[in-house]
Amino acid sequence: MTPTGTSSSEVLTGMESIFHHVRAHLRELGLNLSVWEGQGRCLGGLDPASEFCHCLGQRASCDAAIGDLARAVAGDGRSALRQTAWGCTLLGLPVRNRRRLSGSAVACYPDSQWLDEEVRARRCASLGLDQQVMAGLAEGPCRHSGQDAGDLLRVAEQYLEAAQSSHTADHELATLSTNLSSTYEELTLLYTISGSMKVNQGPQEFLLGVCREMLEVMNISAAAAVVYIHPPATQEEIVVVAGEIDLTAAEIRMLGDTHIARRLAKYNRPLVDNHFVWRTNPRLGQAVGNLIAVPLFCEKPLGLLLGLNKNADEFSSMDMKLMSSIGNQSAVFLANHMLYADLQDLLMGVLHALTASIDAKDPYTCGHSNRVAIISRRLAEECNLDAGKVQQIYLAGLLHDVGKIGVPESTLCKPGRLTDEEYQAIKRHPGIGAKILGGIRQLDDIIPGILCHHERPDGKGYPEGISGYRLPLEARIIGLADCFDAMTSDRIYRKALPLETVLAEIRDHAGTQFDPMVAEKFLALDLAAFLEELRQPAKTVFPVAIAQEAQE
Amino acid sequence: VSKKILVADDEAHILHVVSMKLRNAGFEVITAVDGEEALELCTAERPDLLITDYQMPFLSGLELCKRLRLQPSTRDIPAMMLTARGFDIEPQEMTEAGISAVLAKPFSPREVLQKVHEFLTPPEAEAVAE
Repeated sequence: MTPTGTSSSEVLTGMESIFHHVRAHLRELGLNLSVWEGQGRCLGGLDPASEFCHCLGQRASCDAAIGDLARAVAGDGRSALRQTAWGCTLLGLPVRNRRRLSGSAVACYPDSQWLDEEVRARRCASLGLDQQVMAGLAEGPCRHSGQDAGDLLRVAEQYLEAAQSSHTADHELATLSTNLSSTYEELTLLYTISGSMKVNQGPQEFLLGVCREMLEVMNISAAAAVVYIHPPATQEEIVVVAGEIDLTAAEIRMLGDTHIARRLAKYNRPLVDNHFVWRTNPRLGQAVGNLIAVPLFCEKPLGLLLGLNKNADEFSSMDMKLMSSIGNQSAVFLANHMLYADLQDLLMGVLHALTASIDAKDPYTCGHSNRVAIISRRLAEECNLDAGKVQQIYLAGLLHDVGKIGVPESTLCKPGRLTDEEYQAIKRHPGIGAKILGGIRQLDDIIPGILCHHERPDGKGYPEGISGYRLPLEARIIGLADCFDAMTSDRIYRKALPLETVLAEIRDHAGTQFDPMVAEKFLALDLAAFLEELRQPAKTVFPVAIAQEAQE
Repeated sequence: VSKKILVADDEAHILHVVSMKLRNAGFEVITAVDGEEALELCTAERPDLLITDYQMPFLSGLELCKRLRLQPSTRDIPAMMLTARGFDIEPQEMTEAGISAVLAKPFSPREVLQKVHEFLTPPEAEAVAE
């Protein structure tokens, strides 16, 4: 029955507060309590409760008697009473922890016969104690008779039981509260992630947010996300790391590749490795003690999410479920983002194809629309417009000449002077463009820029001749960009003008043909470098390919 | 007569949550806080079903189930395991220990109740229901 090995005293660990309470209660009753582990070692409380006990203990073998009883009780697990020859009563109580007999407690008191002069004289004589001294000390401590022992034992037992059950209840409450609070944290984590799923933010930013949340909630040293290349959404691989770990992004990527991706692909569920070993690279392996990984999967593998080094614990099924949920949400976000980027790409591709086909009508205007779009965007940025407006102006710049589809090629490509009639046809292209795009609700906002890109601040433009504040800013920007690109490009009727000439033209016509503020911003740019940039082959293949075929 | 279920877990909150759900569903529930107590209660009370945690002091859930199979009186008590381990128990070990189902923590109490119904509904009753 007696617990063996070194663990016996550990069985009583955590019960200190219980004994502290019981001892305090029993002291009030004049009883002293000592606690013993199963092997018979005293864990405290043998120090005398009073001066009387102190004196008595110097002559009588109190400690030995208490120890004997303690061992007996811890041995058979039954409460017991003892009376010593020198008039002390000992109450032995078994102590159980988690239903196991783990030790014993002994309460003791000197009996009230010490108050009797005759008895005291006899006892003092046999122990060699000073009768006078003991008489003075006996008054307080010796208040119970030996016959009270049974009742006092029951009281002590009840104190112990009550203290233990209250201790258990406290412990349960603490565990429950801890559990509840971590459950709240997990819930909040999931709320936060779903709340932060905004499709127009980059995956990098989103995943960093996710990793930081994981760090807060999962009690891990580091969290990381790897997203593979999926054009157009991710042109290059993304590796995001939050927290502290002695690995570079490339090493984390390698960890995913060599150790995790294949195992994840095999099971398609979270992977837990609580005893991680990086055989091929022990140096890097030292940085990772344990890990949890989930695939980011939405129809196809998109990447993976990692939790690294759980603090002072192992990853459990709770972590697995939480990680699964985070992984699913992140994968949905990534998939949506990719879809969004894909649609955006498709839209831009279609628009570029459309404008390239307009430009292709005249080999000299190859790439013109694209350049005007880029110049307009730059100008819009210089004017400190918000990102939405900048994009709008870019699109308007790209589509500004779409109406030329309605102008005969013979007119557009005519090398010599235009007749009045031909010039009238040319002047219709902004209106035609506006009409063509008029049916597309999402492009409503860019129509003014297209319709008015040949209007001038002085009112001498076309088609309406509107002037001053009624001329929208985007039209002034695109108008300037359009003229700049026309002047710096070869035309069928002339070669490209030198940059200085072009700048002088713009400067001279600021306020009449060009908006003075826009012109000023434009002239402040490093235009030689910008021009060089514009001459780089466009990233989209359409303009070049179509224009080349047209030239052939 | 209501069926008797023994729930064994050293985590008080799991014990509370599971027994409350089962009691409300009309089952008689007895509880144990460690594997040894569970083994004693299985022997003494012969419950209709054992729901046990994997990690418990003195005697693990797996060891408990294996011991049950060794005693004629407890051999046929079906067992369901709740576990927080991040990985599955080997199928072979499950068969050996006579564990019929494993639920990974955190589980929903509804999920537990549903499993319990599956276990304790006699096949004939199911056939009638169909």
